[in-house]
Formats: sequence, C-alpha cells, structure tokens
Amino acid sequence: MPRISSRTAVPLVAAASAMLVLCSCSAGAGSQSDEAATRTEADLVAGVGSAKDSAGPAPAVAGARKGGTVRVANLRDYSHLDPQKVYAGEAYNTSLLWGRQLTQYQVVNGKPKLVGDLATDTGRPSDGGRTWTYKLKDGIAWEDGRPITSKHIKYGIERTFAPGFEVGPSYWPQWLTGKSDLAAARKVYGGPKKDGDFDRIETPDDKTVVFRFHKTQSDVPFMAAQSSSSPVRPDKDTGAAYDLKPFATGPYRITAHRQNQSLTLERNPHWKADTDPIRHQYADKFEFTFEKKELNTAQEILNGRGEGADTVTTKNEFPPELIGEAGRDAKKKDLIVDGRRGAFTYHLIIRNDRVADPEVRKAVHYLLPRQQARQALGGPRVGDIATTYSSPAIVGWESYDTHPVKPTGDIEKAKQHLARAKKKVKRLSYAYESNAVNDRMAQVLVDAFAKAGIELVTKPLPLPAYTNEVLRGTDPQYDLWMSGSSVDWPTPATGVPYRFDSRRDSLDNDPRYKNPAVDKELDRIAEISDATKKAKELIALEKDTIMKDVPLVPFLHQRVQQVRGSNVGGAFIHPIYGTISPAWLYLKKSS
Amino acid sequence: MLSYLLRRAVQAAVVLLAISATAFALFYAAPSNPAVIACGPKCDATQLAAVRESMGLDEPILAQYADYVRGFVTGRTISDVDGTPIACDAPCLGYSYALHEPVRAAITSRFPVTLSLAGGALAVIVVAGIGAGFVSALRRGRPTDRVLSGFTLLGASVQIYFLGYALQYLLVYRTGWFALPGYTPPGEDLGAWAAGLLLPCLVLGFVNAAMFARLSRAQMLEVMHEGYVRTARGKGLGPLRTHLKYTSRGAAAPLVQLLGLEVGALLGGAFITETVFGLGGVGKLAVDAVVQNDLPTVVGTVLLAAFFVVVFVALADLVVAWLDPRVRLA
Amino acid sequence: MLGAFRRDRIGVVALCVVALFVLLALAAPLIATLYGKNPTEHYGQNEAGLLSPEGLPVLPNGGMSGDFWFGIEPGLGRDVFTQLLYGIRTSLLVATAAIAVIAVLGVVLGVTVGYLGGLADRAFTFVCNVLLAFPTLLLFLALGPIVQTRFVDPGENEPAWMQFTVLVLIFAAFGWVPLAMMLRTTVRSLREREFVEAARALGASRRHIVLRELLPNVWAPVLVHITIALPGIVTAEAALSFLGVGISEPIPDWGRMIARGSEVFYDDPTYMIFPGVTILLFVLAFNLLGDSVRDALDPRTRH
Repeated sequence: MPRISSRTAVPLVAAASAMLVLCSCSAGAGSQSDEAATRTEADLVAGVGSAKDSAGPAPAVAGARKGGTVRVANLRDYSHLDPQKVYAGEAYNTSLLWGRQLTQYQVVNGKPKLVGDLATDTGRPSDGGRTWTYKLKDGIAWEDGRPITSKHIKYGIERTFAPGFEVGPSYWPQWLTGKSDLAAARKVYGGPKKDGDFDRIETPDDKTVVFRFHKTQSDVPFMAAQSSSSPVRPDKDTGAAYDLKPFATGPYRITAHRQNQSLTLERNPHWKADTDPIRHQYADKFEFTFEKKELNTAQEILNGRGEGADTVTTKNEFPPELIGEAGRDAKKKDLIVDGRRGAFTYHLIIRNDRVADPEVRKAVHYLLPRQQARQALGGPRVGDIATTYSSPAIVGWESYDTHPVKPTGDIEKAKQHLARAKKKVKRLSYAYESNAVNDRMAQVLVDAFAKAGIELVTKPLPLPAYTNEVLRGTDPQYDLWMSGSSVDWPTPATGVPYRFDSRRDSLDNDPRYKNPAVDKELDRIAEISDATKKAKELIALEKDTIMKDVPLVPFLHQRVQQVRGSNVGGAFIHPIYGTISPAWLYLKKSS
Repeated sequence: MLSYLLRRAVQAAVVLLAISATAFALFYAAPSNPAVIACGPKCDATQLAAVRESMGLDEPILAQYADYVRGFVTGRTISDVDGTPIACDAPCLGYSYALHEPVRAAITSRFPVTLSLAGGALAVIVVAGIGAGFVSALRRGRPTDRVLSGFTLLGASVQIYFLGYALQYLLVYRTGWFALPGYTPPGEDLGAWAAGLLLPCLVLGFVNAAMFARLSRAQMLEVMHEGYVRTARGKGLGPLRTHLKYTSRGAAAPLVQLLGLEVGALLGGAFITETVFGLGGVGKLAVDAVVQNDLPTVVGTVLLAAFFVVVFVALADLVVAWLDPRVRLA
Repeated sequence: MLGAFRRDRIGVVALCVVALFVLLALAAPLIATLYGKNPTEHYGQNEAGLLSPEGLPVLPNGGMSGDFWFGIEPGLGRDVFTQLLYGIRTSLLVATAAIAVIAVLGVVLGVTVGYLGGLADRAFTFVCNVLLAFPTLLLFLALGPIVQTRFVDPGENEPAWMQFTVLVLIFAAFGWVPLAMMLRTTVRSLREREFVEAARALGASRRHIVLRELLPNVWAPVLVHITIALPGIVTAEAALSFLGVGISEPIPDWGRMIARGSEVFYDDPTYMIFPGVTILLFVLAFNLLGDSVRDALDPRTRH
C-alpha cells in the first residue's frame, strides 16, 4: 500500500495537542470550603398532625401560580408505578402526583407533618394498638369521578400479599398475620386473586376501614403513608399493565406512558383541592422524559438551553462534573437544590460473626478515614460525617458519639485495639459494588488499613452478585462493606429492630449482630403502643447498648443535590423522601 | 446467483446461531442471574426460588437456549416475575426484567439514535474519508496531499474518548459553537436533531474516516498505473473524468468491502461514542445491559450487531461482484 | 532494506519515540525514585493544602507544581507523572504479550490452513466469520466479572498477573483472525509458485515445505502486521479501562485516567490532557513506524 506522507502530520498533531493543552488551562479549586454553613434540617423531624391539619386544601406555596408544563428529565424510568410495587423514596415522591394514600406528609417551609390524606386523620388506635380505624373523607374520587371507598383501600392492601408484590414492602402482610416474614404470611392469606376476602381488614361501611393486628402496632400511621396503602379499584386492576399506568386519585392522571421514553400527566378534573392537605395542582401538565445523559440534562437546565428553564430532575443527582462550575456562578448555584437525602445513612458494615472480636471492630472504627473517604466520594456535598447509627431525620434521634475519633482516623488508637485482640488480624476483606467511585474509595480504605498493618483485600462485585453474596449471605463471605440504607418511614421502627435483631435473616440483619439482651429489649419495646415513646426507647437502645458493641462504623448521613430550571418554583428536597417533590412545583411564568 | 444468495443466507444463519450460543453460554457463566435482578434487593431465598422457577431459570441451559431459538422463530410466551404471562411475538428476543420491557421493544425504541449516528458518521466517512483519499491520490506529493495525510494520520491515532471529550469541552462548553450533544426525534424537531448529532457524527466519522482515506488513496494510486486507465487517458479522456469513471471503479472493491464491515459495525451501536456523548442508542443499551447482567438484552444486542455485520459484509460482496465482472461469487 | 529504513527520516524519529517509551517503561522505578514520588500514594489526601474538600486540586492547572510536575489526581491525590510513567508499563505489557500470542496463533493457523486448503480451509473460514461478526467489546465487558468470581479465591485480591493474562488472552482470541486470513491468502499463492513446486517434486515432506519454504517468505508481512496491530491493542486496552473493565486499581492505567478525567473535565481539564496526549503520541509514533516498516519491507509500496 502506498505510503502516506507524514512530514506535515507531526507538526499538525503537535499543534492540535498544544491547542487542547492551552485551552484547557484550569483554575485551581482554591481551598475555601463552605461546609455545613447553612444547614438547618436538624429539627426537621416529622410530627403527627391533628384532624384539623388533615383537612384540605394544602397551605399555598408562596408566589406559586397556575399554568404551564413542568418538565422532569431523569435518566431512568420508574421501575414500578403500581402503588403496591413502588418501594423507593423517589418513586413515592413522584407518585404523589397521581396517587393518594390513607395518610401522607404535609410539608410547609420544608417541615414535614404526617396528616390524614384520604383519611380524616392519621388513624385511631384501640385495643392497646391492635386495632386501627380509618374514616375516609367526603369528596374523594377516582379519575373517572367515581368515589373512593373503603373497599378500594382494602383491595389495595390485600394485593401486597400476592405473588409479584414481593418487590414492595411487606409490613402489611407481616402485621396483619402476625408472622415475621412474607412467605409465612402468604400461607395465611395469598392475595385477593387466590384467597378472596381477607377478614383482618374490615369495611363496615364505604367510609370506614378497620385493621385488626395480632400484636400492638404503633407505627401504623406511618405505614398508612406508604405507597402500599393506596387504594386500587378491582375493575381497574389490569395486572402487569397496572405497573405502567395506574388509575389516578391525585391531582394529575397519567395520559400516556411510553416505557423508558416518556410519561405524560394531565390535570385530574375529579381531584378536589379541599380534600387534599398535601398536594398542589399548579402546572397544567407534567412531561417526564427518560434516557438522556444526566450531565447533558444538567447543562441544559443550568444554561436554560432548550426547555431547560422549565425542567427539573427528581431522580438524577446533580452531576459532580458540574459542581465546580455551578459554584463559581451565583446564578447557577441558585438552581442547585441541596438537602438531606431523607433518612439515608451510609455506614461501614462489619460482619460480626466473622470479625467476632470487639477489639478488632473497634480498631476498624478508628481506622476508617472518614474525611478522605468522603473526599474520594465528592466531599461534603455527599453527606455529613456521622457519629450515630440512625439518621437525624427520624423521630427520637439523639446526638451521641460512642467512640470519638478524628475525621481522618486514628491509626494509633486502632493499633492499641489491635494489640488487645485475642488473635492477630493480618487481613480483612472488603466487598463493594463495582464502579469507578467505589474502586477509588476502596483504595482509600486499603491505604488507611495498611498503616495499621492490615492488608485489606478488595472485592469488586457486580450489583446482583453483591446483593447475593453480601446480603443474602451465600458463599463467599466478606468482612466489611459500605451500606447505604434508610428506614422506611421516619421513626427507628424499621431500622434498629431489623438490623440488630439476631433472629432476623441476613437481608435485615446484615451485620449478623447477635446480643440476646438486645433481642429481649426489642421484644419489650415492640409492645409500646405510642410511636414517639417507642422511637425514643429504640434510640436509647441503639446508643447505650448496640453501638457500644461496634457492630458497624457510622460514616455519613447522606445529602443529595438536584437541579431545577430558572423558571421552576417550589423546588425543595422533600424531608422524608429525599428528592425534589413534583407535587409542589409551579412555573414562574408560562409561555 | 440465487444459489449464491441462498448459501450466503444459510451461512449467515449459522454464524448468528453460533454467536447467540456463545453469548448465551458466557452470560450463563456470569456470577449473578437475572432472577436476582427481577426479584429486587429485599427478596429472600424462597421468593428467589419462586422467581427463578417462573422465569424458567431452573431449567438446564440447553433447554433455555432451545426456548430462546424457538421463540425467535415462532414467538413464545414468557412469564413475568409473578408468573403473569407476557406474549412475545416472533422474532422474540426475550424479555428484559431489568428494563421491564421486551428486548425487541427496547432495541427498536433506541435504534433511531444509532441509525442517525451511523448515518451521519457514514456521510463523513464517505465524503471526508474517501474524498480525501481520492484528492490525495490525484495531488500526490503536493501540499494538499500532505495536509490531508496529516489529518488522516491524526484521525488514525486519536481516541474517540479523548477527542470527544476535548471537543465537547472546547466547542460546546467553552465556546458554545455546537449544541449540546443529544437526540431529538427528527419528526419532532429536525433542526434540533441535526444540531444534537452534529458533533458526535463528526467525531465518530473523523476517527473512522482515516482508515478509508488511507485505503482509498492507496487503491487509487495502484489502479492509476494499470493498463486500462492509461488506455483511457491515451484515448484522450480528461484526467478527472478518467479517474472518476475508470480508476475509482477499479479501486472500489476493497473500499466497498471495508465499507460493508463499517456500516454493519456502526449499525450495531457505537459503544464508546454513545457513552462519551451520552446518546441513548443501542450501544449504550448493550453496555448497560452487560454491566447490569441483563442477559436477554445482552444476547439481543449482540445478535443485532452480528446480524448487521453479516448482512452488510454479504451485501458488499455482491456490490463488488457487480462492479468487477472478473470476481466470481463463491 | 535497512538502508531504505534509515533514509526514512520520519521512520527513524518514530522509532526513537517508540524506543523512548520502552525505555521509560523499563526505567520507571528508577525515574520515580529520582523524582521522589510513587504512583500509588495518596499525596493529596494525606498532605494538607493539595486538594479541596471536594477533592479538586487547589493549585491551578490540575495542581501542577515543582513537586508534582504534571499535577495530582482529583479525588485520591496521586501523582500524575508517575501514574503516566507506570501506565506505559501496563499498556506495553498487555500489547506486546498479546501481539506475541497473536503472531504465533496467526502464523501457525494461517500458514497451515493456507497450505492444507480443503476442509480445514472451510472450518477456518467459518470460525473467522463468527469471530469477525462478534461484537468483541461486549464480550470484553462481560468477561471481567466472570473471571473474578470463577477463578479468584474470595479471600484474595485478584492477582495482577491474572488480570493481565485475561486481557492478553481476550485480545489474542480475536486478534489472530486478520493476520491468519492474510497469511492464508499469501500462502495459497506461494504454494503454486515454482520453488514450492520444485521442493514438492524433489519429495520434500510437508513439514519441510511449511517450515523451510513457506515460513521464511511470510515473516515480512507478519512484521508489518504486528507493528500496525500493536497500537490497536494499546487503544483497545485503554478503551476497556475507560469503560471500567480494564486493569483494576491500583495498577496505573491510561484508560482509567481518561475515564476519571472525563468526570472532572469541566473543573480540571488538565487531568485528562496528560493521558490523552500521551496515548495520542504513543499511537502516532507506532502508526508512523508501521508505515515505515511496511515501506522498507515491501519495495512495491515505495513511491
């Protein structure tokens, strides 16, 4: 083949590279930091509202106006829209647009309060908390105008027992049958298709639902706010198709859903504002689009290109690539919506049955280089360094620090504890879901552990394998991993009693923590019928007993950043669900 | 001719069968199975077993593969996690539990992105690549040739994942000369469609054009000296017309073959380009599916990519035979 | 032939650049010692004042300074210069090992099939067709986790040699095809030439014909092929790392550096420029060298 003359090529390439280099001169980050200067969410704990609070309409958002189409651009479509299958804060948050529950969180100026939604209040307990009664409001209707009745609530909750619904929470089946897991509960009742009517949920009339539990249940008002507690009308239950297009009870109805492409919502004419103390109906339409790269979406929004000014992200996080740029420009910085990621915590979990010596676990506690690890994750924006297991976002939380340590870790203290260990520890294994960020954080840990003479073996795993091997506990086994998790509602009731009860399986108790005294105490606390008191006792147990055993190392109470267009008003991070809630959004001006 | 086509089709089918079997076997060996994804993180062992059964994952791999092939030919019914049947018409590529949609639907909805990107890149390849080679050959040794060859060499040496980001930084972020890369359906807004794809197409085209420029220049130079071209010149045909009519035709065969391979490869999804520019085409779908261990989608996209390569390579052979009667189809 | 190469000034320059890369790779530990840094230490995290709390270099231009010539890595704060230096080792090691396997496989299969023809030829063509139509990148992506879980003891890190071996084998598994196909064609035409006919007429064994008559005549195209194919493997390896499935941390790798660069390129474009330009130079030098080798070995192409 003839030869290409390349005499000119070399200078050309050199010139091109030089141009790239020249144009890329970058300013340094500087060393200033505005960490936690204006964070005030510590008191944003959900209170429980009265019947008066539960009456509509919702307190107006200052400056809000009606009209226009709000655009929501997320990378991924929702994996479920069927209310009994939805099980993620972000999807709960978005489904408020079309779905209503027995109770829900009213948010005013960022402060949440649990109030009656379809129900007139947050529920009335009797029989020592074993019976809960809900009365439905007048004027609540489906998108075709027919009234929502107690039968629809009952049918919706009965669905949670059925096969296919294991992707959703299983508290209703467990509580209503008194069994500790879904499989056992299903033996008692297998869902409306298989076993018909379930007598533990009574509907004496169209406006009344009565739940009869086997034991005292104090957290029912919070469970009643979960998406699982949404009504479903049997004649509209389209099975698998219902997961794409549920029938609306909220201010908007779904007019089209092209999977992984778009979701269109229009006003639901049969929703009445004066029945709903939570949601708003400012925009005419919501247009969701999916599959566009997060970075591109964020750039469009920041620069107001195309429809960027009318767009928000509710699932995408603000891309770290643009944090620096947005920080340098006050106008752009204003578009970033920052807040606590609900009650999400990110902790270093220790497998207690493998690392059985508390001295070694304490050494790990002192070794964890919290500041460096957080820096590898992106710095203060990813979360506040934690000293407690539970998130400050939950009822009953207390600030404590069982084993105070510098944010950079304390190698000397760690060595002292290692020296006291019964058996010398030379290596520990650390499993993580394989991706670039986690790879880098693993290196931070490797670095820190090496300083105390421990070789940290890193095991990157694809997500399904990670879930299987780390949580389900199949072989192989690992010693340490990072775990981001959250309680299902803002009390410790779905956190502490699950993660630290030795009788629960490893999906719940992933540290494999075992302390008979704690088990006994948990049984006692479960009988408390007052949710707030119960929360306080659980936190006390966490602080005074559990964390002294160092079953895990607190690392972060997570934060989240999302972005809104300059024309979008009403955007804040929902204090419970940890994402921007579309149900409060409006357009400042519509074209 | 007909027997040739028939033989070629059978050959292609066998190749595709072999490839699907390989992909199937490989991912079957992967550390995690689709049931874990479908069942969700809170799924316990009993539920997992139930899901495995309803998804047919407890059957031996050969039976699963046979089902897959049968489904492709005649269509089949797949059961969802909860046992609900999902109809999947032929050619059925399976159902993705990770995406909650049939694989074929997932591919068809993303294919326009890949098609647009491939079309744009191909235009760049043909115009800039082959064109540059042609001009270079005619102007051999002169400054035009040198500059063009320099660009060609740059294109052959630079990486999409570097050039793509660098140009995005300079041309989109710093100067705003180009629109943000992205895909708008052409039916919705033709201008936005073109603007969003311009940079990705140019970059993908430029990097791939280099190979064509080098090959076309080489071929032209070789053929220019062959007898029949000299004869044509001797008969008094102008240089440009001679080259367009005779030289290019003679030089075309290897180019057409390379082009066939290229078109096939482009239509199967430009994995890196789609990643760099954030385009949600078939390539991104495939990469995501591999990362998430989404077996049905992986096999589907692998098959699609292989299908295009096989088809366009065969087409290229036909074109070569048509261009040059000396070539016998075998 | 060597004379022709020597007269080719660009070829000589390209060879020098390639030689420099090889030299830098071999001398990496020595250079790093003289320079006083290593590629794995998290300088930015352990020394105050180098990285902002968000992990970006405090100094402009990616933190370039007298201490850190090419700046520091955002996030972990490793030294960019030594990372690049050791990155050459990664790239060269994978590429040369893969090329060696490809050359052996390609020559053996190409020459044998070319000589035998018939059924072997048909089987060969089929296998080549399958391999050519296979989207190799996807396969690469998928293999990493499989190897990691099937062959690595859960209590151990995946050893570096295993990562390298897997990469080399994958590249070799697909890389031999073009070489073997080219050699098959060459050998088929050689087979009919007089000297082979003569050897056959003299009663030479097949073994003799293949080893003594055919092989010596194919080494030139093989050399040309591998010089041109080597940078392709370097870039493919970088592409895999870019997509997150190449050599894993903490072994320095250019592709991974670019991937990291792409995450911060709005705030710290410098970090991407260094590995990007290095790969560009490396591949460019090899491409130029490949052209020169071809010209020197194949008189037909000298224009």
